[in-house]
Amino acid sequence: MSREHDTGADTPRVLSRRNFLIFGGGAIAAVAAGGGAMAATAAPGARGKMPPGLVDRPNVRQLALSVTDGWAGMPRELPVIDPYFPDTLAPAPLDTYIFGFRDVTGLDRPIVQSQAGKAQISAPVIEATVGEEVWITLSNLGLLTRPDLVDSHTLHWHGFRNAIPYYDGVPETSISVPIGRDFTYVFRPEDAGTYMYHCHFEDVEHVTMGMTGIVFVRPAANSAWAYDDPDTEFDVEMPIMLTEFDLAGHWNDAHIQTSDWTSYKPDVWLMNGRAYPDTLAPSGVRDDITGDLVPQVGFEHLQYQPQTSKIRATGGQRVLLRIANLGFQEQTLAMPGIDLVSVGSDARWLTPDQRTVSDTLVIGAGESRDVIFVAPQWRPDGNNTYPLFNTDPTKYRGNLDGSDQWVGGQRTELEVEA
Amino acid sequence: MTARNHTRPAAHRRARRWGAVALAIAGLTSATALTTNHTVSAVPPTAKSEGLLCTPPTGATPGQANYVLTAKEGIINLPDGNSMLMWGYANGNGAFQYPGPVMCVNEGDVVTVTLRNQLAVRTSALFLGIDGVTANGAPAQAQFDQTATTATLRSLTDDVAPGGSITYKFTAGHPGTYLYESGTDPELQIEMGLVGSLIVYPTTPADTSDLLGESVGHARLAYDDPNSRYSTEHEYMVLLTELDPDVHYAVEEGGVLQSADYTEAYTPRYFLINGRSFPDTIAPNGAGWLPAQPYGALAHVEPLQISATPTESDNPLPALIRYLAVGGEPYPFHPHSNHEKVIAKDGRLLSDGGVDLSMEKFAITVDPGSTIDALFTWTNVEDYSATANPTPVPGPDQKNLTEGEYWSGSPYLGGQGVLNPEVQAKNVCGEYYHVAHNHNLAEATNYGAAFGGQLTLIRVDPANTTNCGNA
Ligand SMILES: [Cu+2]
Ligand SMILES: [Cu+2]
Repeated sequence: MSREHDTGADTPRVLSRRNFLIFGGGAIAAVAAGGGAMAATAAPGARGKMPPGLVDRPNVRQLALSVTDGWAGMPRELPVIDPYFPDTLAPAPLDTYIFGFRDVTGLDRPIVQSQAGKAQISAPVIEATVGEEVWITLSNLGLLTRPDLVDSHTLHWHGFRNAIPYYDGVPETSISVPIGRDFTYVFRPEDAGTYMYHCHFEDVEHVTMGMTGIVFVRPAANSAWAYDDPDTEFDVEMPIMLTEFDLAGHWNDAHIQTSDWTSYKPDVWLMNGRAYPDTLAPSGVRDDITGDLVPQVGFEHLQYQPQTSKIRATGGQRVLLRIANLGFQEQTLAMPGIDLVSVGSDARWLTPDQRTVSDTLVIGAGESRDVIFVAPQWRPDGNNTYPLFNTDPTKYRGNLDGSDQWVGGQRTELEVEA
Repeated sequence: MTARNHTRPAAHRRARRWGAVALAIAGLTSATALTTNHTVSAVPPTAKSEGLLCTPPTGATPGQANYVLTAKEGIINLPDGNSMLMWGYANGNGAFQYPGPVMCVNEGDVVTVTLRNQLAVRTSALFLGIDGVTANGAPAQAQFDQTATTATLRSLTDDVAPGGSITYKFTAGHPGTYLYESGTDPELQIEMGLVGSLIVYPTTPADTSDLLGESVGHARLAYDDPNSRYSTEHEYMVLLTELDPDVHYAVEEGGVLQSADYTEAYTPRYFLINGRSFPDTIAPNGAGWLPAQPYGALAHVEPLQISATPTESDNPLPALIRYLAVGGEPYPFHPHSNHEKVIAKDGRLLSDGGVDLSMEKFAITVDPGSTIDALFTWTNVEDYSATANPTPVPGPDQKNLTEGEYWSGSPYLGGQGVLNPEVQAKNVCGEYYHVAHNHNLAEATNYGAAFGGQLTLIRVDPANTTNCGNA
């Protein structure tokens, strides 16, 4: 096994094995490295085209995100929920109305505009390094299915320390971005860790519709550490965003109905915008010519849910899980037989005295956890998968004939490779 | 904001009250100045307008703290125009209030609480996390309705019949933040409003040194530990509760006097901080239009400032936030603008054999029946200013932005601009506002309407200004 330590923020970031895991399996990563999928992780100066109107600057990571509506696909095995699921307005093979972010870094304006109605869930993973300046230009492309809704949008970096309202993305206490307009948020992260971002406009609706993603910050000292501490070193990493969908709420938004959010009752529980078994499917990529997302063959319903949750490692590798919860419920995840060492909580390094070692972890709404585990050795008998799953049996929908109770829930797996 | 309108449940939004909120923030006037009706408020007119509002004990004997609580019925107001029948603990012969009085005592005090019951049902007061409570002189204990063959739990502590009174007594053994609530049919009675807070201050000699060892006169310890030092001028309560209107309507109709009579699925629709939901949460203590809901939840600070050589204008002390929660589920509370340092849970410092286990958190999950103490500061790290240090990317023309009512019109602390004409501006002096809210966002609503419920504001004033009111 090889440990790859990136050399620093100023060098264009080559996709390492760690990066592969963020965005998918090896096959996808090969495409990503060539085609620029998930350009939101572009290192400063690594890409040719900056967000509109901005100039290239050293040590500034410039990203462009657009916000719009779109359609996602829940697992093919999921039972019908009449009349809410599948939504009859959805273009096949998609079935669920969403709001979401898209990474449009490096795309020309007309191409960006052509992505209206093509939101993704979970939002693009944003990566930054302590000491960098991060500029995120948010473009509001409007809602194609709901032109009557003239909502603005924002970007709230949840957990950013000593934020000022101007860059905090709360519409009531500062500004939000109307349809057809851009705004550039500026952050100078000083603290490593796993954070999250989401829209704060009509927050309950926009968040549960899918405007949620992970942003994490690497320490300046070593990009293969989770925090400024050598015992947070890792070989592979996997961000996992936990959310839930109340499918009636999504249907209501598509069909011009109002939801009473205090009646919120989730139907599916998601990891990185997908429910099991789709969590295991490979990541999708962005086509830089059309600007659109491209699904893997056989997973066309996941075109706008490009992020896998499948974890791959070789025996003995240290795996960092960056888990964030932007659902509305507290969740308990378990990985039986694997010692999960909590090294960070809410983007704060935990002292050895504060750490817990357990095969379960509890994470409240709005919280983040960084846990490291050591992958078990590869076994020649072929038993090399280890599930990571929500322990609450009521938080799964189950498939049609009841043969797979895990369908529709937060479940993924580690596969130990030879 | 959206093309749809969230009108349910009530169409009668009270413009009068919105105006009053704006005025209250703008002027930072005392609570009584705004009183426009003759309703008796549950707190005296001299009450401070912001921050934790203690109800002092009666009696002047040192080491003794006496309270009389009266369980009675009353009405609270919700921001969407709804109102709700409640049961609550009033202070002595005072008016109905929700939540109950904030009882503030010192470590080691012998605390006597006489509960008088003016409700139509038996009730009680249970002091969570307090040891050695007696009821009418005997150790307080759970009460059962017994027949020859069965025993049914009636109350978790000694209770009192309608019209009667009972006296609880205990020694406040540990500093910290505590809940008191009904132990009798708590599922219904806590929902109905029988809940309050108890603060125990440490006996460690009043510590008036700030983080630099300078005497500033308003430093205090929350626990017998120097790491719990905070500013008494910035001490706040965040008591999280929820209401299902159907329960209250059913009680009002007279059909329900105990939870067993209430069979419908419990679905809370209102989520409150200190008995109010946003925007009422940011109204002053004792606001005249909320006579039965005396406690505001606006946090109001200046930037943390610690100079290498201490100066008069230094502001080195954190604010203290005392979180308490009742209800059925944990409330994940998310303060914007900075992490909070969680120093204690359930009245005990987070430390283990002298090892500091305090933890900085951006989401603080407060479990039902528990309390958390956290320290808060905000530092003007970037120190952006219009002339010396403008934001790196010039903002677009304001016509290309949607502006919020608490927004100053300027990115800069202390800066002010003219907002787009459709915005009802509420900013006073270029202060910053940040939200602090439940991140189960369905609970940051008033019956589903966003930007309500368990949400309040953190106000950050520019340092050393005189035009920002009484900060
Ligand atoms: Cu939005
Ligand atoms: Cu958030």
